[in-house]
This record gives sequence, C-alpha cells and structure tokens, in this order.
Amino acid sequence: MSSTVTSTGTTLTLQYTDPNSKVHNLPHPLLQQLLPFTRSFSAKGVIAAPDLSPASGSDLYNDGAGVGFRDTDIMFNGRPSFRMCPQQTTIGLSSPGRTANTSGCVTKIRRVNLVGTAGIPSNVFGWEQWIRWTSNNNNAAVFTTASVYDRDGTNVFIGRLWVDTTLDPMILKILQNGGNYLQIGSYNTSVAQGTYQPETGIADRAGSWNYVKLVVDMYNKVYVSVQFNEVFVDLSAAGPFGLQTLDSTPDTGSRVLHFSTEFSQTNSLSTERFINMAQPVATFE
Amino acid sequence: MTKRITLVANSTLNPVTTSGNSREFPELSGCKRLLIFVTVTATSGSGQTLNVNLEYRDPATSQATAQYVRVQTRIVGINANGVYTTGGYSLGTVDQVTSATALPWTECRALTDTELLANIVRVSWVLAGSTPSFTFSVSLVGETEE
Repeated sequence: MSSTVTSTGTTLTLQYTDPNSKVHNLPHPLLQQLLPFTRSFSAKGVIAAPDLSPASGSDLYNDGAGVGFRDTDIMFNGRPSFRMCPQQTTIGLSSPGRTANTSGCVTKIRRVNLVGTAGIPSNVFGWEQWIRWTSNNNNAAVFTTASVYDRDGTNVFIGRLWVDTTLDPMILKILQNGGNYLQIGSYNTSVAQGTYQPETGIADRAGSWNYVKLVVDMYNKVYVSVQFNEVFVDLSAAGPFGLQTLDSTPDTGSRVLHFSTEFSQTNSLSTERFINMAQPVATFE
Repeated sequence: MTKRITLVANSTLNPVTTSGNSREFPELSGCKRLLIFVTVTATSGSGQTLNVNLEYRDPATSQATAQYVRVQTRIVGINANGVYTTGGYSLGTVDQVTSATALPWTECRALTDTELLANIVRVSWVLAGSTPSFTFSVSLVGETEE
C-alpha cells in the first residue's frame, strides 16, 4: 500500500508485487473480478472479453485462409474454446514475419483506439488468453503468436510475442523494430503432451493449457511486459532487455487497434494441425 | 438466443468450368438446422449439367485423404425464372441443372431438427457435358438454438 499526502488529505493506494518484484497499483474497485480466469492482476479494465459460451458466438473472428471456429469439442473451464486450424494452407516463411499472415489463421477482435494518443484510462493494452496446442505435430513447422497492433494511416505498429514450440524447452520471442525476433525467455514444457487428434485415435480433452499475455504501450510504441504461465518478463527500460520498441512498417490499412492471435504452418501433413485458445481478454493496463 | 450464420460456399463472381468443392464450414458445428440456397444465373456448353451436393466429413479423416459422404436434404422451394414450385420437405438431392433449365434458377433446401448436422460440412459441385460453364452461388444459413 502507498500513500500520497496533499493539501486536501491522504490518498491510499492498494498495490501488489509481480513475480519480477515490480510494484503495481491495484485499481479500485478491484476489476479483476471481471477477469475470472486471468493470472494477471494489474489490469485497469477490460476492453473486450469475447464470450464463447453462447452458440450465438462473439466478435472473435478468423481473418485468415485457415478455419477458426467456436469449438464445443475442446472445452476450457466448462466453456467452448476457439479452434484455429490452417487445414492445408501453408506459409513460406522461416519466422512469423512482421505482419499477421492471412495465409494461416488470424483470430482477432478490433476496437477503435488511435495509436499515439494518451488515452483514457490508459494507452497501455494487454492481450491475454489461454492456449492449448491441441493436435499432434505442433512441435515442428508451426508459428504461434499473439499480437497487438494498430495503424496511424501511414505505418503499422506491432507488438508480437512468438511462442516457438518447435524447441524444447519452448522459446519466447518478441518482434523487434526492424523485423528481427529477440529471445526473452524459455519455458520448460513441450506441446507434445495431452494431445487430441481423432484421426489417430487420441482424444485427450483435458490437454495442457498455457496462459499467454502480451502488454504494449501504444502511445510510446514500446513493449511493457510478457507473461507465459507463471513466468513474467519485464520489458520496460528497467528490465533485463531494456526498452524494446514496437516494430513498424509502412501500412495504410485500417486504423484500429487489433488484438490478434495467429497460428500458421509451413507444411501440410496428412493429419491436421490445430490449436485452441480460450478466455481471450483485451485489457487496459 | 437463436442465431443465424450465413456462409457463402460459392459466389457468382466467376463462372465455374470444372467440378470442385467449397472449403469446410466447421462454423456450422453449433447449428441444429440448415437452409441451403443454390442459384444459377448463367450457363454455356453443350449438354452441360450441374449437380450440387452437401457433404459431411468423417472426423477421423482429414486433409488430402479426408473422406466425405453426400447427404440428402429436404426440398423447400424452387424459383425457375419466376415459376414457383413449393416444396413438401421431402428428402432428396439438389435438382440437376441442365441447358434446358429456366434461368435464373434458385432452389432452397433444408435440414430440419429431424436430421443430424455433422461437425464438418462442405459443398461440392459436379459439372459434366462438353465445355460446361455455370455461374452459380451456394449459400448456407445455419441456425443455432441455445
């Protein structure tokens, strides 16, 4: 708890310490009640939390050539999840690239919020979700990324976390300005466990779910933090990697804030590769 | 809340000259009922025919070796260039369109609560005859109930 004394009185602020020993103010009232499945408690508010429970669906939408759909076969915490399956579509890249590749699956929601403005309540945005690498063969030739991006009419500004599942342990990377990926951590687990693949008679519906959160500052156009399960990576100036600028390239596309999760493959197998995401939440931080 | 999902399996944007199929529509997996609209606006060739089919995929197969079956649907109605035929919801397949069919031609078919809609659905079309060409659309309207 912190206190601020002014001429009109004393303000008390509740605080919590994250896994990196960084102190965050807790908003009042405690908004994490709106995030029932989150592992993060720093959000100032919820921008969108697409609910996949009703068959009427949500505005979560796959903008890619693969298929993306509300999945009642693979449930998360009693609710349907969202499956992304490139089917036989492929991309010819050695990394996820600099922009969302619509030759795979690009699952997104959009909310208009101008880039470069100090918005209210915040210009810092979070994109969190739970991800399960559901099928077999996600330990090779696939790209899984979570992105927050926006455009100003001239350029696109992209923050992207790449969870590289082709390595064991998995590697966490962020897209740097200029198009390179920087390794920011690793995580000692593998996607080749608890899979679900009817074609091969495997029907594990429990799976292994991973918490993924990316936080970016769209006013200063820099990364803020990444969290993968319990591992928190501070990407501020005080963090181990110093200040990391969002990638930007010329792009006159739609000027809207995108919260997006992408999944693509570089080759097509005789059985489908697919992943599921659940409880996606876009936040103010 | 009931919701209807509209999906376009093929549009009239370009004439079709070879047999083919739509992508799969797993988005329909939450639906209990389905309407299928087939509209043909133009054709050319000699002795040409068009058959449109609704197909279900066996979920234990996928990708290039996926196995599909063709299923019957119920006739709702036909509009053959202004000549209306109301359907009796009997089971059958989409009418074959030939060079003699009055265009524009629209057929509406349905899957009702009586039938079971598969998780993985697609539409296929089979063209035959000499240099067949058909300009047609196929749209699917799924209805959820929850």
